[in-house]
Amino acid sequence: MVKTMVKSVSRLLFTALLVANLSLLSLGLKSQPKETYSSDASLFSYNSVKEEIYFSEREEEYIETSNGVPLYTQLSSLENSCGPTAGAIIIGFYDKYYEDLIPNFRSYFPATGNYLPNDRTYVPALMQDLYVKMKTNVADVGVNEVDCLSGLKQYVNDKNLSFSYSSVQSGSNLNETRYTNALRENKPALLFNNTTDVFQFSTNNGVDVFSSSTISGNHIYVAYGFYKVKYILTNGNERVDTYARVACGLSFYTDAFIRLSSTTVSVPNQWLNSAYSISIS
Amino acid sequence: MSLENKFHEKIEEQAKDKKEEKWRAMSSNLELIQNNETMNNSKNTKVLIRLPSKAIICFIALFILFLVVVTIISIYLKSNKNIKVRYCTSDEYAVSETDVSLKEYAESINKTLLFFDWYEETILLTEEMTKLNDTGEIICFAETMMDMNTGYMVTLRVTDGWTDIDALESIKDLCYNQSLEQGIKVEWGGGLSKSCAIFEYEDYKYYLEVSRTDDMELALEYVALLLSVGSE
Repeated sequence: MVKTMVKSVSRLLFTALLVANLSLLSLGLKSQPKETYSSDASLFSYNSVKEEIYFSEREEEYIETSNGVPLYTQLSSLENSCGPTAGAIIIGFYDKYYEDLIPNFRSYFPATGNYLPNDRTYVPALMQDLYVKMKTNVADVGVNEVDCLSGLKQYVNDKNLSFSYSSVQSGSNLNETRYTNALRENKPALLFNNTTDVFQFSTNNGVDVFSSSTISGNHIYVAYGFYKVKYILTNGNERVDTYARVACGLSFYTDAFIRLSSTTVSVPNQWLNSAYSISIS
Repeated sequence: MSLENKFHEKIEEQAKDKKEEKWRAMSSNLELIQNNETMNNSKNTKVLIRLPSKAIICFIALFILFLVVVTIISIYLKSNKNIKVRYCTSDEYAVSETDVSLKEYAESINKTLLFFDWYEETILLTEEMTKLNDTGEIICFAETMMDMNTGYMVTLRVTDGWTDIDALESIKDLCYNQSLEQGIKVEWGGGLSKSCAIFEYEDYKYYLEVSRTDDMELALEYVALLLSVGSE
């Protein structure tokens, strides 16, 4: 009988320990995502690489949100603030349609509809507000994806508007169909990236010049355009490249292009962690 | 005369003939040899005379060329006050906002800098300074203003002539075309809704960008405007 009791107690203890371990494990799985986004300009490496594409024919297709997005840049007084900066760009974009989103401030120039860059009062105040709401530099350096989205949602809800987001991602790349559909619906997207090559380019007679730089570290961008260019190269071959146009939030790099695909050159495929089209209504 | 002596005389005569024959052969050979030596000597003499003059001429030519090159370099160096170019990378500097205008900045450093004098009319004006982390030295001044005549946002960045910044390398790549504007070489280019230009004026480099335009040459027009004000 004693033996039976000892066995039962042992089983109970074992079960209790097992349950406790499983609980701890599940708590760990539900904890905050480890990725944080904090890239400031000082962490970037502008190791620009030049590429010239010689062509005999060229066709392009470009769609973007209406008048793009405001190209705000990070404030020096707010450390690790790529999250609040990207959030401010989203808010500034929708302020055109919901005037009280940024009270007493017009984010665009009425004569052209083009968005204005940072001013000295309202945009800095907006970024400061988002900095707090997104819990920037609280639990970790910068913001994580959950706090970034929830901080934005809180700001929008405080203005009696609704906030929603929808994934436009496939694996480690943008889902071009979902992304372009979002753009056609006039919805920009938030991109949560790790190290990314960004491009700028100029079009000249018979040659496109691309200059790429690597922005190292985790960084949040606002995507607002899709660009597709088809070349008939001088050797007779065809080349098709697609890009997302993004606001980078950096003083020297307000906007750039991220190469999504190419029929000729290899494209890094590990740059994207998450991507969401953002809707405010 | 004894028989022995007669034979000896005979042999001597024959030998004498042969000797003479041999002497004649030997002497002719000797002459040949002597002639060859003379020819060789004369050839050697000629070679010795040619080589030094060629070498001397080459040496003199090289020396003159060296002097010319050194002279050119010296003149070039003297015409440039400071030939040392520093390259600043993003870990060495930081960008911060400022309330100082480009016009005020130029006055503070007592330099003639080009700027757009739209301060009274424009509705949007922002300035940024790029400073070295260790010394606080300003290596780039940027001013963004709206041209109220066109609605375009124009960003003008100014660095001194011996400073290159990594973040500005890409704009150099994009300015693929060259032209002369009022005697100043301007490099320019444009892509999707952006036009940019680079030029140097009185030891300062200017980087100009116009956003939300599909007119690639628009930046050139703004450069012309800047230079026309500068020449007044």
